[in-house]
Amino acid sequence: MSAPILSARGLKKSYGGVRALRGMDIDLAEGEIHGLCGENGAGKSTLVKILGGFVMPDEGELGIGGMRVTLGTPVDPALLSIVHQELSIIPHLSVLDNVMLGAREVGALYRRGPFRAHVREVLDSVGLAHVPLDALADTLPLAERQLIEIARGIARGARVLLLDEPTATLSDGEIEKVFAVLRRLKAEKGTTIVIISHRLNEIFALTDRVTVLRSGQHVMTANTADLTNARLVEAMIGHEIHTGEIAPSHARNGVSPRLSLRGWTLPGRFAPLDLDVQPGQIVSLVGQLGSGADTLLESLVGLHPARGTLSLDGAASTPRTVAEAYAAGIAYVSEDRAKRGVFLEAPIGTNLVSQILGRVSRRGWMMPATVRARAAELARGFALDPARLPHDVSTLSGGNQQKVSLGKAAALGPRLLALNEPTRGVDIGARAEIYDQLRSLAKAEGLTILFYSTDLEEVLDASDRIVTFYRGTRVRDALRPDMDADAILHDILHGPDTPDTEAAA
Amino acid sequence: MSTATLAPSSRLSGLFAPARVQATVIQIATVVMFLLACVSIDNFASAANLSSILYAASTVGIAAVGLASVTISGNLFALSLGATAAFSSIVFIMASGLGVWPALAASLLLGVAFGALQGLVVGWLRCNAIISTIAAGSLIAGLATWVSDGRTVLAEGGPTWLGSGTIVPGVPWQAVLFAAIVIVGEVLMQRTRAGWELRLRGTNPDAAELAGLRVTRMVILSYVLAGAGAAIAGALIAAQSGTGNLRVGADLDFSAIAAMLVGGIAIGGGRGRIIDVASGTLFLAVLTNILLVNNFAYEVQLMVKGLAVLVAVTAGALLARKSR
Ligand SMILES: Nc1ncnc2c1ncn2[C@@H]1O[C@H](COP(=O)(O)OP(=O)(O)OP(=O)(O)O)[C@@H](O)[C@H]1O
Ligand SMILES: [Mg+2]
Repeated sequence: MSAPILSARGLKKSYGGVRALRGMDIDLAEGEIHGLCGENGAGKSTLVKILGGFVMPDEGELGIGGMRVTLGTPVDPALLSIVHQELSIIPHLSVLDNVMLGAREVGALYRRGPFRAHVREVLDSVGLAHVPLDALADTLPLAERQLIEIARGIARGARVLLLDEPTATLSDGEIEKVFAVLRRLKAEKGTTIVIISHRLNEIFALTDRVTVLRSGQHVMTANTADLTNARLVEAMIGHEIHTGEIAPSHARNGVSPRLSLRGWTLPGRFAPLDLDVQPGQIVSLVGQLGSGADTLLESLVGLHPARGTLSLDGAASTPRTVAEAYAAGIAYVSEDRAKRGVFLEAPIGTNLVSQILGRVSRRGWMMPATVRARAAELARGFALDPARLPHDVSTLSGGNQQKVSLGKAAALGPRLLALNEPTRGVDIGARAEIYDQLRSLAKAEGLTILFYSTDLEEVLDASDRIVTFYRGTRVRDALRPDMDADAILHDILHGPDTPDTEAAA
Repeated sequence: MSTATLAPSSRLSGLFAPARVQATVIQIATVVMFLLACVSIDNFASAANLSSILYAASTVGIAAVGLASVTISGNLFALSLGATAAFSSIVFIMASGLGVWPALAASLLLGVAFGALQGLVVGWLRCNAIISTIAAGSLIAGLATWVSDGRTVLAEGGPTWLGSGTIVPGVPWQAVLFAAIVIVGEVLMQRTRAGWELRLRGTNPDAAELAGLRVTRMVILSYVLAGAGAAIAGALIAAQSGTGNLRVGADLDFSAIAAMLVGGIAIGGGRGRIIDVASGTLFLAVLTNILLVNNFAYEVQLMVKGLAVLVAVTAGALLARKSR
């Protein structure tokens, strides 16, 4: 290997008593795509932030392009730029301004003209050709905001580009476009790219080499071609896990359906739909952006004014607000974790009970012992460290924040759980734990789960039944054993084989 | 999750955690400053001077506690406190013939009514919090002028226990009322469901909405408390001077904001406790009094107060950055 473009030695970082990194070394070769893998909280984001100078390490050295850099001061964005795990889109700025945010070319006076063509080109390349430069960022769905974030990283033209879970909210079509851009950057400009992802198929599809971290330490670096899925998983979590098997369904057939939709529609978003779901069934709604699948999920908790009838266990209860939905026994987990899913600046324990305050209080007075007991119980169920309950959610790694978001909705003890991107950013060990937890709820309490996910592997791993959508209409509704990845992809990308049903949206 | 090790967190380290360090520093600084002043300034520790510190602290502090519920719930500031206090002072004096308690009740009712009005506008109609309360302040001041004809109203009887009575020499009844309000406020904020909902709304309004918390009700409640606090402050000032007029509470808005911020309430919402408001209030009251007894002019006092707020806000911003 020639001299590495980036080389870090002995990086250490502690937050209070939490040792995020305990002496981490990494070398990046010029023009490679390097994957970073590891469990939630392994220290991946911390490492990336240190490399970019956003976090000051306690110890260590860093060289970029053969020069020692001062730790803890942001590195020149033309040399190295980062796409952070948490979105940093400014909602009331335009798409153009968001992409140019912090660019060095922008002088003291910001004249947008010269940048338009370049930004347009970058946006087109990541699949945002349909988004106008002057659109306000907060009018865009989460996936598109994520793509803008990626476009910002690309537009800098940095020699080293670090992407922290850039694909977590994207669906396969979008991911392919992003990957194509990354491959082109590598081939044409010799850009060095680091990518963090919990979706191992992405790591295999894209990277040249992989580094695995565990508990803040380097475990291994290997050529991707020499690795197998099982070896990578073992390096990450220390043991093997089995995926891809069809889990047993806990659907209770022959009883009356838990959820019934009749003529359920939101004009312009999804066409009238009838749907029956059995107690204990785990159903995934799959579709691309604009397919209406996610909107349908949100409409179940009153986030959209859908028409038609919704009955739970035979009783009509069409919720108009989230509070009504929760009272009726329908819980919801948002895909936008930081903004709507959790209270980042409040303790983990408080978050976990935040939706059941009425039950952990008596006549308006909180019952501290009950609060602690409930929080500890939920923490155990969702693989969170009970010792950290008094700490703020913001001190958790991204994946563990997601578990808080799930735990707080499950606390309601709902009859129907609507999950939007249930394991976004969760590592594969914890993901298996979460599915186990959801399945045991489905089995023991007959909890019915509907979820929307852009992660095909998750859809195949977690569901009993899969419903595919294309442009606002249902394409297929089948049990898991009758579906495979190809069938799903075909449905969501091309719609039904008979072309006449397409017009409905 | 990965096996991150956690240092045993002692009570002491909790006090100096990034989120609490400003509040702790102010508490210590208040005590140190007070003790130093007691030994180094003649007559500082006299009953007369102590009670003048406490009179000043009680009125500002009670308004600041009410205001803190607005700030903690995530709506920045209410800028109608001064006007509410002025109107309340007029009403208190007009009703003072009926006795102290009925007069206090009348003032309180006024504060609650105007607070509820602003709460509805901000919480239910979702109007901008700052603009709505500025507008409300103007409306209230106008009404107060109309009711009082723009003149100072004078109390009929002599001084009352609420205006000048002390429980022990140096500790006026007003300070007892302030202490009671702080303790009740602190307990309610930390221990009740409404207090939790109020604080959660402050840390993240969108998440609070999606969690199904009673956000509208909480916002209305916070303005009711702010209105009530300002009204009591106005009544206490009126009781001290035996007069009610439009100048009462002229700088109450800024004083209350200053006391709250210096004490360690985060402007952005969600962070800070009611006892922090009390320590911020006492800190500024002691500081102002030291300047006063050393014969510094009013301008100097104003500048020092402004400086203290700037320092507090800067410290808050730096701490927020450090905790990343
Ligand atoms: N600001 C902070 N304060 C306290 N602890 C922190 C802070 N940031 C990170 N940590 C802790 O440092 C450890 C490493 O976190 P990091 O975010 O680097 O994990 P990660 O590998 O990116 O995980 P994920 O896959 O979930 O995103 C975690 O235990 C986390 O809780
Ligand atoms: Mg991370």
